[in-house]
Amino acid sequence: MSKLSKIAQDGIWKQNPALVKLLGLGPLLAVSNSFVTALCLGIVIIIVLTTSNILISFIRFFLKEDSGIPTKIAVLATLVTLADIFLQAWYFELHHRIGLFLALMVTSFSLLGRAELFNSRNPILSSAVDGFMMGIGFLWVLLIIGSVREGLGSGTLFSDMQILLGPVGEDLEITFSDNGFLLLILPPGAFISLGILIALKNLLSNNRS
Amino acid sequence: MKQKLIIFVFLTIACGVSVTSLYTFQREKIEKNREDFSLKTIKQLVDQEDFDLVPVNATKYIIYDQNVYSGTVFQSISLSGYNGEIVLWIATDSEGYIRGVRVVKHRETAGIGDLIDIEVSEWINQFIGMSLQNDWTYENSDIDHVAGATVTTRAVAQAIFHGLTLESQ
Repeated sequence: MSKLSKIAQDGIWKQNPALVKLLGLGPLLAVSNSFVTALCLGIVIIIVLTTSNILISFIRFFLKEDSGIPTKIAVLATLVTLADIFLQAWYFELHHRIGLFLALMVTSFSLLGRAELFNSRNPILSSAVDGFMMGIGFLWVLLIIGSVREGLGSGTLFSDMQILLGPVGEDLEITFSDNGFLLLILPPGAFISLGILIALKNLLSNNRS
Repeated sequence: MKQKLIIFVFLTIACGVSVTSLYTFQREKIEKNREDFSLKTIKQLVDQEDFDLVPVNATKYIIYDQNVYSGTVFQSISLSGYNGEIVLWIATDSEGYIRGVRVVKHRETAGIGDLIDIEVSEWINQFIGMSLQNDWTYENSDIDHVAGATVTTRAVAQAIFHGLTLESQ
């Protein structure tokens, strides 16, 4: 039990893939200019990471020798392609906005590197928890950067939620002001917000230890 | 070694089959989504209750209002924007006056050049009602170009002008 909670802590805080390992920054920075796209990418990452970790550690039952890399690439590429097709069929507008970065996730070292390090020595349950927690770690960073950039950059929050939730989402938009701080919407804003977040995280971790 | 090979072959087949089968089952839906997405924009342009669109090719539709010809909807692409191509759909009525213009694809600077997008500003609506008789040159033109976004707005105006010219021939 304590092992699982250690995995959870690692994924969410200590070894956070976005803030500590600085992996998968391409999709992270590009998609975080609004809340809804950040949320969607986060959800997809959680699903793909968890499923791939389960599948890979299952396959490792049969493959004792160290021949994991082709397996991992095949599994990850398949899962991301399936997610891509799924989005195209059910959430077309969403695919319009995050589709490009979804495909980038296959090559994104984050998934591959993580799967490689972990699954070689762990049973299915802890692999699944690891994938899920790493995904959560990605999600909260995405959500914070997404809310800050949308809130300060365009003066709204939760805009365009209908592309994820359907008609229910149309009334969710909150508008603070008509003018935003433009820099945050542009790419430099992504780097600045991420930098501040990393600095805060380091400050908190140093204080604690 | 032999066992490893069998597992790899099996894995490859499983991956291939799962991707292909999901795509095959969903292909019709995906293609319909694509079509709906561009048709949705085109229908907004025509600004009329009841009409039929008859495709000529992928970039041009003829509008029929109860079987009477009432203009065309066509695509125009500009390569002189600030960042890659700008794709526009233009709708005209039977006399060549513009019913509406929409930018469906662009990568102009967010916050500066993206005013050509209807979700950002109404700028694009100034073209409604214009035709080839208007003055489309840069100076003293009938178009309200925007300072700071000169390259983008000029590119859009030129794309519309070229589109209209090609259509009128």
